[in-house]
Amino acid sequence: MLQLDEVHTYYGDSHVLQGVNLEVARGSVVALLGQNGMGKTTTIHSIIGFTPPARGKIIFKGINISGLPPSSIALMGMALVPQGRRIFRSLTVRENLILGYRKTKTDKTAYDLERVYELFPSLKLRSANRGEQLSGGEQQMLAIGRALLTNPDFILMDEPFEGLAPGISKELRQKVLELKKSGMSILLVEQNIEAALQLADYVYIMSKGKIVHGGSAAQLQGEKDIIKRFILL
Amino acid sequence: MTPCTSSRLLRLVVILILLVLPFVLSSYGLSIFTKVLIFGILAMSLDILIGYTGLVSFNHASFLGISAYTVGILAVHGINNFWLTLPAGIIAALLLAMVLGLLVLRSSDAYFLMITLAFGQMLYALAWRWRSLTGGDDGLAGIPRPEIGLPISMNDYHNFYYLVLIFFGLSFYALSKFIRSSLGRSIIGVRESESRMQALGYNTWALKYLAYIVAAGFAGLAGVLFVYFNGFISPEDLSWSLSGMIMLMVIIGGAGTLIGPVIGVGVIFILQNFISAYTERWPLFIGIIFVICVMYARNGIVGYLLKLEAKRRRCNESPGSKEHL
Repeated sequence: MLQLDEVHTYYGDSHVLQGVNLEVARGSVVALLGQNGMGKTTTIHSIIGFTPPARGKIIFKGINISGLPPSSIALMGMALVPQGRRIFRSLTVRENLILGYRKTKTDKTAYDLERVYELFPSLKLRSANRGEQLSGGEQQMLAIGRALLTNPDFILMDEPFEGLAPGISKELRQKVLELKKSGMSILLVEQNIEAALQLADYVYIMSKGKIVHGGSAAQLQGEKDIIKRFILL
Repeated sequence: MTPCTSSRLLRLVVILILLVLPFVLSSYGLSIFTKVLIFGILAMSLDILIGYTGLVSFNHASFLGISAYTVGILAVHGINNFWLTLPAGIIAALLLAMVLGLLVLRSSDAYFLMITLAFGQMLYALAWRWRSLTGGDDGLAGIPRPEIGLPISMNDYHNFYYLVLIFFGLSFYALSKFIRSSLGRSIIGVRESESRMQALGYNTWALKYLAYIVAAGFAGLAGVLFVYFNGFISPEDLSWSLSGMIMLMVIIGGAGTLIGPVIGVGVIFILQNFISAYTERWPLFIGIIFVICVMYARNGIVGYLLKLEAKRRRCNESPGSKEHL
């Protein structure tokens, strides 16, 4: 589904991604773990096209998308759940969702407003409320719902459980698990190792702009020193 | 009374007041109100850019000016049928926006403001220099009121007021529909976060270009009405000071509320006329109002009133909350 091959990205003179290689297979959830400032969000931004890489290839569905504008990449079937629950604050829940809606699929796996409301019933109750009136958890549901309504084949999620109350975080993780079961391919950026191990099939660990470890979630659980060195402070 | 019925009632009262104004006001008072409505269309159109799209444009007078000059030049050549000059003025503004949009929308934020200012001043200089067409700094004078193809004379200031009122009403209706449409919501999305809209698959440049053209079209309509109202057009009507004044009206009234800019126009024009009867230094008072707005009502007059209303509603919903305070 997605493959990064020696991706180098700069912010001005600063060499942030220094040859990132990773792969997300169709229907799998891959987690990208690492401490703050290691280049996780830049990786996501390079994939969606916000910060195009200076070198390297990003292959999505067999096409090199490196350097394409974000809107073209999104139209190819990629969706982004941005960090920090970035919803449209002055628009209502319904308007936020409709903005994302793209009818690209016609089978029963396709998402429409009703299906998103089924997945997140509290959004239906709050449909006339403005984005800024929602709780943190509801805003995150809205960000995920909006991404789903673009009917993507692949979702980039940037720390979706960050700053949420434990109960809400658990509920949302369950929803992501449901998405995984439905066959959605997801690249999940996380700082929380527990969430990553619960959801992901495969885990990459990033440090100082490079992938320093790649292995199955089960494998990583046994590697205490890697966890200690690169994830836990 | 529900908020919905009270707002409907308020709308009805406002419409009734606007309809009976010619019977109440003197010709001078009515001319001020006619001007408020014309500039109201202009301010609403600028609000589409500033308040809804997040584009702080500093050459909005250019669209009013090019449309007014088009109508003025046609009038000088004896063409004064409103149904010909109206589309001609609007098309001139639309064409200008289509060309300028390609150039100015490459930049954003302060650079966008600066480049629009630069193009606005270029058009001002062009009107000043191209004497054979525009009359240079003398402008085009003696533009008669239009013929509308009905046995109603537009020289009668009551009739002209109603003509302007009809176009104001249509503009307000069309612009509110536009804002509520999915296209309007997408434009608000661009204001809130362009990158987020791109990540949803939107061509945000095209959305901004479209908003720029729509805004210019309505500014063009205001230009047609303005030149017939004024009977005169000069390079001053293309200048940065007029663009700045309209921007001030939008901000004081409340950007992003549509009705706010119209109230901003009303407050400034009425105060200008009232204060200038006593002193020539009326811009000083407008400046003070602007400072007060910036300090206490950053979302403008209407934004401030909406905030108060929301607060009142919250208090009503939770009567116990006062006790906690």
